[in-house]
Amino acid sequence: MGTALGWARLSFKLQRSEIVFAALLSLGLAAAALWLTADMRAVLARCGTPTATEACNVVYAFQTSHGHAVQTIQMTIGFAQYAVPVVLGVPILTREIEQRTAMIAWPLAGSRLKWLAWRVAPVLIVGLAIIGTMAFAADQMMRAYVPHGDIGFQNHGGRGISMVTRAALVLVAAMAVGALVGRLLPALLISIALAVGVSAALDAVLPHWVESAELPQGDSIFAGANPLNTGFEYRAPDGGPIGNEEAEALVQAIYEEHGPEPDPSLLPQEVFFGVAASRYPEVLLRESAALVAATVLVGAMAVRTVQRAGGRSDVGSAAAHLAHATLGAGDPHRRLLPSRAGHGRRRLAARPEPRGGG
Amino acid sequence: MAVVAWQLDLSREAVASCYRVSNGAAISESCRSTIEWGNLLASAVGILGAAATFAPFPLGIFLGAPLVAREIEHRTAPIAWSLSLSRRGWLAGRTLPLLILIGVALLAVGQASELMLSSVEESELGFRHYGMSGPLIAARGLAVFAIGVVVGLAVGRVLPAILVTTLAAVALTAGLSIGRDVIMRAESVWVPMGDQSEVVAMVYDSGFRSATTGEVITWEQAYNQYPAAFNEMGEGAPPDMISVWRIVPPERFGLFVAREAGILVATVLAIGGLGSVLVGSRRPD
Repeated sequence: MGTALGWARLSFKLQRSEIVFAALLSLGLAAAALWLTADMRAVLARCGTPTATEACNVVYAFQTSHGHAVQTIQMTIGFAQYAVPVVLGVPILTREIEQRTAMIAWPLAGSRLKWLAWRVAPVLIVGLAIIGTMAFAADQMMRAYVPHGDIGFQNHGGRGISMVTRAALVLVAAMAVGALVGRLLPALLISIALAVGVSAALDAVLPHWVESAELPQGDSIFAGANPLNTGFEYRAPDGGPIGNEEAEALVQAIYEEHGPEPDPSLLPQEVFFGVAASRYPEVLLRESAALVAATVLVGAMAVRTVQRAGGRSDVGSAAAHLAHATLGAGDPHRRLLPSRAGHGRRRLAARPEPRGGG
Repeated sequence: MAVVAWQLDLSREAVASCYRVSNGAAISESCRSTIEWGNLLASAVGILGAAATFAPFPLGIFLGAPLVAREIEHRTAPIAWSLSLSRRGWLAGRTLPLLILIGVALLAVGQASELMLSSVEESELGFRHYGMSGPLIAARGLAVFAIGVVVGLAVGRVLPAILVTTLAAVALTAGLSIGRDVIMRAESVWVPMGDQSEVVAMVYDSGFRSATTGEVITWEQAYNQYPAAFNEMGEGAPPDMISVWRIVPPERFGLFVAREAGILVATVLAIGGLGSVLVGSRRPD
C-alpha cells in the first residue's frame, strides 16, 4: 500500500502540471455539461403543469433554447477527449528518456515491467477517472437534450463508453509513441496526428461494425429516431429504385398534373439505409471490444520497447540499447547520446557485470 | 491555395465553355470530369480556408512555447547566458529570426487565402470571411508566438508552456471576438434592406424607416401600429416606409481588420518588453 502511494505521489510530482491541466479541463467541462443537463431536466419536470413549455411536446425540445450552449460544450468535450489523453500519455516515458532518468530508474527498480506498471498505472487511473466523469456528463447532457426517444447514435464517440475506450487507446498510444520517439515535442506532434487519425478511422469504420439495412419508417430520422444513416435512395411508386434526377422530374410532373396536394402514393418514396438506433448497444460492444484489444496491443508494444531498451543494466548500455530500439539502425550511441553514452560505456566497461536488473 | 485559386479560374472557364457547347443537350464525358474537378476544387476551398484560419495557432504555440522553455528545462540557457554578452541580446537572437520567418510565411498564407476566397466569391471579401485571409492571420500567429516565448521563459518547462500558451491563445481569440462583437454592435447603423446583402455578416436589428421624417421603428412596433399593412406571413411594410436593417457597413471591414491587427502587434511589442524584463531577472537554476 505504501509503495503504491509512493509511486502515485511520484507520478503526480513528475506530471503535476499535466494532471492539473487535464483535471481542470475535464472536470470543468463535466460540471458545465451537468449544469446544462439539470437545467433541461428542470424544464421537463414542469411538463403537465400550468408552467409547461413547448419543450414538452417538441421532438427537438431544446434546439432553440439550449442548442448553442450544448453544441459548444459538446465541441469542447470532443477536443478534450483527445487532448487530455495526449497530454497525460506523452510525457510518462518521454520525459524520463529525454532527461535520462530512465537509465537510472531501470537498474534501481529491479524489473522494468514493474517500473513501467507503477509509472503508468497512476496516470492511467487518474486519466480514465477524469475522462470517465466527462464521458458520463456528456452522456447525461445528450440524454437530456433528446428527451423524447432513444438517443441511439446521436453524438456517438463523444459520450459514454465510446469516449472512454477511445481516450484509453489514445492515452496508451501516446505513451507508446513517447517510448519510441524519446523526445517530448516530436512525440507530442506525432500523438496529436495519431489522435486525429484514430478519430477519423473510427468514424470511417462505424458503419461497418454491423450490416446496414433498409430502415423502416419508424426507425428513420423523420420519425424522431437517431439511427446511423449510411445511404439514401428514391423508389418509384411501383417499388423500383430510381435516380435522384428521375425522382425530382417525377415529383415535378405529379405536382403539375395533380396540383399542390397530390395522392402521396403517386410520389416517389424516400428510403433510408443504415443501422437502427435499437442496434446501438451491439455496435458499441463491437467497437469497444476492438478498441480494448487495440489498447492492449499498443500497451504491449510499449512494454516491449521498454524491455528491449537494453540487455545490461548499466547506464551506458541501457541508453545505447534504448537508442537502438527506438531509432533503429546505425550507431546508437552516436544517435541518441552523442558524447555521454560513449564515455559512459568506456568508463563502465571496466566494471563487473551487475547482478540483477533486466 | 494559390494553385487552387488558379485552377478554379481555369475550371470555371472550362465548365462555362462545356455548357456553351452542349447548348441544352447532354454534356460529354470530358465535360463531366471537368465539372467534377471543379466541384472538388470548390470543396477544397472550405478545407483550405479553415486551415488558413487555424494555422497561426499551432504554428505560434509549437514554435514559440518550446523555444526558450527547452533551453531552460535542459539547463543550456544558463550556460548560453553566461557566454553571451547580454541576456536580452541572446533572447532577441533566438526569437527575432523565427518571428520574421513566421510573419513572412503567414503573410503569404493570408494573401494566398485571400486570392483563393476571392476566386469563389462573387462579391468582395468582408465580415463573412473575417480572420480567414489577409494580414490578420500573420498578426495572430505573431501574437501567439510571442505569448509562447514569454510563457516558456516564465514556466521553464516545455509541456506546461505549451498548455499555458494554448489556453492563453484561446483566451486572446475569445477576448478579441467578444470585443469585436461589442464594437460592431455599437457601430452598426440603419441601412436600407437589400443593399449589400451578400456581404453582410450580422444583422443586429430590422425595422422600417419613414421616407418623410427619417424616423426608424422596429418590426414589432410597425406590426402593432399598422397591422393591416402585413399579410398572414408577416410580409409587407407600413405606408411610406422602407425596410431597413441595422448592420455594420461592409466598407468598414478594412478598419476592423486594421484595428485588430494593431491590437495584436501592440500585444507582440508589450509581450516582447515583458520577455526582455523576464530574461534579465530570471535566476540561473
